[in-house]
Amino acid sequence: MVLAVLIFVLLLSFLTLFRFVDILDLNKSIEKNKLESSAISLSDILLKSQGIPYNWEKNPSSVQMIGLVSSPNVLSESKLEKFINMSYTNVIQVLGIHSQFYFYVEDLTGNRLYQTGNSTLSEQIVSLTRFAVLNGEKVRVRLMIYE
Amino acid sequence: MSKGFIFSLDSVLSVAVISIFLATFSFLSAQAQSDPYPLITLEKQANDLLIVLDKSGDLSTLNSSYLNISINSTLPSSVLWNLELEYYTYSEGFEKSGNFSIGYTYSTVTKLAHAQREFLVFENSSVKYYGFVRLNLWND
Repeated sequence: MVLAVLIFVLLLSFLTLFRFVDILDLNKSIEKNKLESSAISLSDILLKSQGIPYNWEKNPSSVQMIGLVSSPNVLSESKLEKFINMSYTNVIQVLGIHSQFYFYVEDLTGNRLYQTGNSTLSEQIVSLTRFAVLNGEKVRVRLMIYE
Repeated sequence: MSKGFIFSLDSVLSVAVISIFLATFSFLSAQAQSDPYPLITLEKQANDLLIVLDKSGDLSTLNSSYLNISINSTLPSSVLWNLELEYYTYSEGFEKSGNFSIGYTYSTVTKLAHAQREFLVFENSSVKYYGFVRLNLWND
C-alpha cells in the first residue's frame, strides 16, 4: 500500500514537472515561430515587390511599403540606397514589425555591398538567406530578425 | 500474502499505464515540435535560385559545367542540390533537343524542397529553345 502510494506520488510529481518544462518550451517555440514568420514575409516583401508607391525611392518620405526590386529578385540600386539611408525607427515603422532586424546584401565572395539595421544581435535570432540579382550579378540577401 | 501481491500488481499496472501515457505524450510533443522553417527556407531559396539563374542568363547557356559552378558558388555549402534541365525546339510541335541532370543524387533524401521554371533561350531576337528546369534542394 505504502509502495503504491509512493509510486503514485513520484509519478504525479514527475508529470507535473514534465508539463511545466513543456509549457516553457512551448512559449519559446511560439516566440521563434513568430520570428520565423516575420523573416519569411519580410524577405518576400523586400525581394518580390517594388513597394508602394512603386517609385517610392524618388520621395522616401511618401513610402507606405518598402520593396527593393524593379522586378522579382532583381534588386534596384536606387531603392537599396534609399533603404539603407532611412532611419532605423522609420524602417521598423514602415515594415510594421515588432522585432529588431539586421539586413545586408553581399556578393558571392562575401563582400557586403549594402547593410542596414541593428547588428547587436540577441540570443533568439532567426536568419534567412535569399538570392537576387544586382546589376546583372548574383548576390545573397541576408535578413536577421530577433527580439 | 495475497493482499501484498494485489498491491504490488496494482502499482506495477499503474506504472505501466502511466509509462504508456508518457511515451505517447512525448511522441506527440516531438511530432508537434518538428520545425517546418528549414524546409520553407529551402523552398524559398530554390525558387529564388531559379529566377536568379534565369535573369542572370546562366540558364540560357544550356551549359551543364557552367551551371554547376554557378550553383555551387551561390548556395551555402550545407545545402545539397540536383538540377534537371530539358530544352525543346518548336516547329509543328515541341521536339526535345537535349537534357541533362547535374548535382547530387537524392533518391534517399526524405526532406526535399522543390522548384521548377520554364525559360526561353533567344538567338537573334527569336526564340531558339523552350526550356524547363527543375531544382531540388536539401540540407546536408
